[in-house]
Formats: sequence, C-alpha cells, structure tokens
Amino acid sequence: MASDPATDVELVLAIQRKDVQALEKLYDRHRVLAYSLAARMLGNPADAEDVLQEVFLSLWRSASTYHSERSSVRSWLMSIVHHRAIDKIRGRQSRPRLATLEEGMEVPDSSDVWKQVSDTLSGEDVRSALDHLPKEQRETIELAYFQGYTQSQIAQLMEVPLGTVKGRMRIGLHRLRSLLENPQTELALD
Amino acid sequence: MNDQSHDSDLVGPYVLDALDPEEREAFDVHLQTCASCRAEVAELSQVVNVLPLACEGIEPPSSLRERILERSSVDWGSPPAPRLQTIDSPRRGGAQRRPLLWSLLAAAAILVAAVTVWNINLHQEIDQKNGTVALQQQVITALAHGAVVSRLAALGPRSAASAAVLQPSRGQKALFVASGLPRPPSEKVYQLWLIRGTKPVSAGTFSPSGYGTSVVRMPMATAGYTVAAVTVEPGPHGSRAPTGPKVLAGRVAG
Repeated sequence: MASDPATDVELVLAIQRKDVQALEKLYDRHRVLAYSLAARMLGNPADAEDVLQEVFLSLWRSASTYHSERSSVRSWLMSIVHHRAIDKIRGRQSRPRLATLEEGMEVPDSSDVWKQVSDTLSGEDVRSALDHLPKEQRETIELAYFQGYTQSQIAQLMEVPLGTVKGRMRIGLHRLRSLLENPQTELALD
Repeated sequence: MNDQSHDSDLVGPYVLDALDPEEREAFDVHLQTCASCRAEVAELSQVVNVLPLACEGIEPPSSLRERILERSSVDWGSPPAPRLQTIDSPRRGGAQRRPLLWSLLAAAAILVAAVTVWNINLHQEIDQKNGTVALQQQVITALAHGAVVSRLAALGPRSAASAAVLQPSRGQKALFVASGLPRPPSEKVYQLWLIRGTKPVSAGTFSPSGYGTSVVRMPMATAGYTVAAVTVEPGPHGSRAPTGPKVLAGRVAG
C-alpha cells in the first residue's frame, strides 16, 4: 500500500534537512498559487519567475523560520511571495522580513473554525466574499494587495483621507474573515 | 498611555504591506509590546494569505521548476549569484532608475535599444495594429522629424511617472508617451484627454502593465487644444468626461 503523502509541515521539516525531493513536492503543491499571485501583481512572467525562484531558493537555505503553530505552510509561503513581489514593485532590495512577527513572539493560535475553513476555501469562495464587501473596502484592499500601492498612494488615488484608507482596510479585512467563515449567515445579513 | 505608534488602524495596512518602510519598522517595534495589536495582526494576516486564491490560476513554466531544483541540489547555503539585468525586460526601479521616457526624448538613437518594452498585460491581447513596436517606431520617427514635445507633469505621489505629448509636423495625429506609470487599479483604465478651453475631449484609454513605456496614438492633432491630461476612469472603455483623479497634466503646444 502506498504511504500517505507527506503533509506540508513534514515537507518543510525535510527541507530543513536538505531533502531536495521534499522541496520538489512542496513546490509542486503550491507553485500555481504562488505563481498566479506573483504574475497578477507583477504583470510579466520574467518577474513572476524571479520571485518564485527567490522564494523557493531562500526557503531551501533557511526553512527554519517557519513555525507550524503560527500559520499553515501555504499561508506562510504566500506571505513571503507577496513580500518579495511588493519589494520588486517598489524597486527595493529584498530584505529579510521573515524575522519580524514570526520569530520569538507569542502569537495566539488560529481559531479552529478558521483552520477548517481556510483548508477548503476555493477561488470562487474568496472572489465571492470579496464581491460582497462594500465597494470601497474591496477596492482599497485590492489596490494594496494586488497592485502594491501604499496607503498614501491609495488615499491619493481614491481622493480620501489617509485615515479613511486605513479604516477601510481594517474593517474590510475583518468583514472578509466573517464572510469566509460564515458564508451563509453573512450573506443573509446583507 | 499615548503611544503614537499605537494607531491600531495601522493593522490593516500593515498586514496588506501597504505601509512605508519607516512606518512598518515603527509598527514592528510596537508589536513587540502590544498583545492586542499582535493578536489582530495574526487574525487579519490569515485572511490576507488566502487572497491569492482569488487570482486566476496560472501554471508556471516547467523551466522554472528545473532551475529551482537544479540550483538547490548544488546549493547548500551560499548566497545567490548576482542576477544580470537584461535589456529586454526593464524593471521598475527605485530612485536610481533613470526614467525611460527621458532617454527616449534625449536621443532617438538610444531609443531603439532602450524602449524594449514590455507593455504587455498578461490579461490583454496585443493589438497588432497599435502594436507596441510599431508605436515606438512612430515615436522615434516623430522625434527624428522634429515633433513638438510637450511635457506633462505627474500629479500626486506618482513621481516616478513621466510623460509627454508629441505633435509630429504636418497636422498628423499626436502621440502620447508615458513611462513609470503604475498599473491602474483593477477594473480601471487610464484615459487621455485633450482640453479645448474647458471642454475635455477623449484621446483614448490605455492600461500599462506597470513596467516600461506606454505609447498611445491619439485620434487627433494637438492644434486648437491647450492642455493634455490623464485621469483614472472605469474600465475598459473609460468615460465620456473625466470623473476620476488626474495623474498627469500639462500644456500642449502645436
């Protein structure tokens, strides 16, 4: 009988022990999501490929910054891809950002509900939740996350005060979380 | 306690990576001692990290996979070799980057090498008639034949953008060239206007990928118009009159 496929966490541990096949499997599992994000943000394949290459090679060199109780591997990977893509958009040298929140700080565990929900979310779920946000909140989040604009640039683009932009991001993200955790309930309240 | 960095509304832009470096560093420091912000950051980061699912799934090339695996199988911790910049895909740089537009206007000969560029949005077809290379050639030709150049000023924090309207001689249609304009927000496009007195007339829409130079062939010459401007409008067709924020503007001659 074939053995169960390794979990993401097992793959990361194996990568820490320099198991190239584990890197290969992890790449295969997450490559489409990672590349789709980078491609959408950067708009050209060469840069998207650069980001993926940087992320996976840096993972190979220092997989020890991953902490399984803090986020899923996929979540962690996406945040690194996003950081690198933002750095590229803003023309900065990549900085070692992994260290800030992740290392040496107490962070509460994700709720059980969220753990279950996030594992089975589809693209459609996320797009639908985004669609159910008030337009200004959705646009603010999209401008920041996918287009890489800073909060000040967004304030300028949308012609609103900076405080409004910050508030829309925060409220929008909380609302998005509710929508994703409880789609039926949240939609019924609309 | 009035801690300036405890603007808990910073949590939103922080998890979206929309803070400037100094602000982000200050908030990082704040997080070390503020449990409630940390908890909120953790909660909202989880939401942010599923946003990639909303993207259209694109399979990366298999050559990328090979490169990654090849490099890791020989790499046991040494730093990466410096990446050579190639001419054919200019990156959007920071303060050191010399705006492509000014290379373009400074010397038509340099243009040919410098204006490579990749104005191709993954989600858009290349319009062959207004193909990038053909338009760039028109710009070169126009400059070589002494087109009147009217520079536009970038408005707002988009100081990396530079643009100009080129009016070739003999009443031909004008050209608009812009470099360093970021991608427009989703479902929006940039729209070019020529203004006669107080009346703006649309001169076309465009949607750069955020890299390189945009060239637009306008449907008219600049004669009779006094000002050119670019605004952000709803896509894909823009508006009948400007409704969105102005990103570029300037007087036009010719």
